Amino acid sequence: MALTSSVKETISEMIKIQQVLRRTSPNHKMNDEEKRQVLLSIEKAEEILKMMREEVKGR
Amino acid sequence: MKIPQDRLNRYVGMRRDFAEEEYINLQPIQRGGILTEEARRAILEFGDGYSTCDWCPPKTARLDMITDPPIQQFYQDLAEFLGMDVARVVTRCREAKFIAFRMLGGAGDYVVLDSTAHYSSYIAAELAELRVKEVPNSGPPEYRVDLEAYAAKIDEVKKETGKLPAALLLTHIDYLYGNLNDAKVVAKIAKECKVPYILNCAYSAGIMPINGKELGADVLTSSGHKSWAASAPTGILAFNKSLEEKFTARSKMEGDLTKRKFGAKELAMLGCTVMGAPLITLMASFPEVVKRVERWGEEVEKVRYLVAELERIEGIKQMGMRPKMHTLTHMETESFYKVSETHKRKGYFLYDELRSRKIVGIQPGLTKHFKLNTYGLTWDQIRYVRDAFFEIAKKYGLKIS
Repeated sequence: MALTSSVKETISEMIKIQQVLRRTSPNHKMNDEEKRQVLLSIEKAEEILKMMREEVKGR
Repeated sequence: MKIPQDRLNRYVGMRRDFAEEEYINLQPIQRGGILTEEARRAILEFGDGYSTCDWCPPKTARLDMITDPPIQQFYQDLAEFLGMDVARVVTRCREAKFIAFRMLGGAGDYVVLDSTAHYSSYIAAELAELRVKEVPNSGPPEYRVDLEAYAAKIDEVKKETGKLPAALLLTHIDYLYGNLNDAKVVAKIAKECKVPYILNCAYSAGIMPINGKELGADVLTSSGHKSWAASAPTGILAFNKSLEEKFTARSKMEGDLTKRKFGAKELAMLGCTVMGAPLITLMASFPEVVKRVERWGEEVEKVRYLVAELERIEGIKQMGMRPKMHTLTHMETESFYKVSETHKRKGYFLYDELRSRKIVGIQPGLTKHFKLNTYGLTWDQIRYVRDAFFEIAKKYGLKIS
């Protein structure tokens, strides 16, 4: 159950990053706010992936 | 029959060559259909076939009655947003036009339409067994539709057939030049002559504010994948109360053997229409669509800026009515055509040059004239496109004023 929602949350963070890439294509020059958004999504995704790893190991 | 594995492998790992993340896409039909963030999330959730139908049947086994996801509410909100009484989601704008034609006319009747209408308007009329009477346009360079001529065309039909046309159809924004037609002019004629009036908003509703009642439309058609940030295929058919009985009439068919009946199903819609991923993207993008139409003024500002900049290049001129009132634009580019005559890649040189700068959507091979659409591009992307055209012009010795 947790894995299912974790997968969705991770994909959701990746979609957020993709949206920034879409807005800034083709050279992806990001302003400070866009960089902050991308870094925040990467951090969140990393946290979720860590939790997922632990959860799978514990099964 | 068994399909060889190497052929099946072609369907594995399909990738789009021109992903939005990597390219600026100026394709005229694609800009308004780019999914919102919420729609991209929703498509993952509801991508499976009949995913929207988990809670069907409700009391009435019909798509527009489903409350989870909130399809029933969406249909009502959609109608309200468009300033119409009733809305249905159908497969495409052309299907919406076909349904309207089919329910308003009979074999041999006429529909009066503008001469810049999309081919699908003609084909929809043909399938509905209608004939067309075209309203002329001014030709180059404006291609302005003579809206007042709708009245004369109605008279022509009356003289020829002894009865009124089944409907008038006006293309709100034409697909060739992006001209904005004043819908109210035709609405007045339609009202005076008592002929149902269909406004085709394929390129307007969903990206610019539209109020069907204010514009005087009896029927409004639109395209979800063209202008509502939705996946294909999605079309919108909206209509006024006066036509509800006709358009939503239920099936009367009965099986001769089984005596089965389908009285809940709306005949013109062939029962349930668009479900699953296309419908859900249309719904998921709706909150953003409601907001984005309010930013239409800035979209027009951006296209006018780009057109003015591109016209600084010698031999480049915008076609259609001026100033631009819509982001779909037709440029005449005589100077690029002259370059193409001696270029080894001929007409493809412009496409190659743009593509090497990560800009796509201009039809390959065209240099004499081409269409583009700037809808939804950021100012930085607009300036990037301008700079790319300037670079190409300079490379081939064209003057920039």
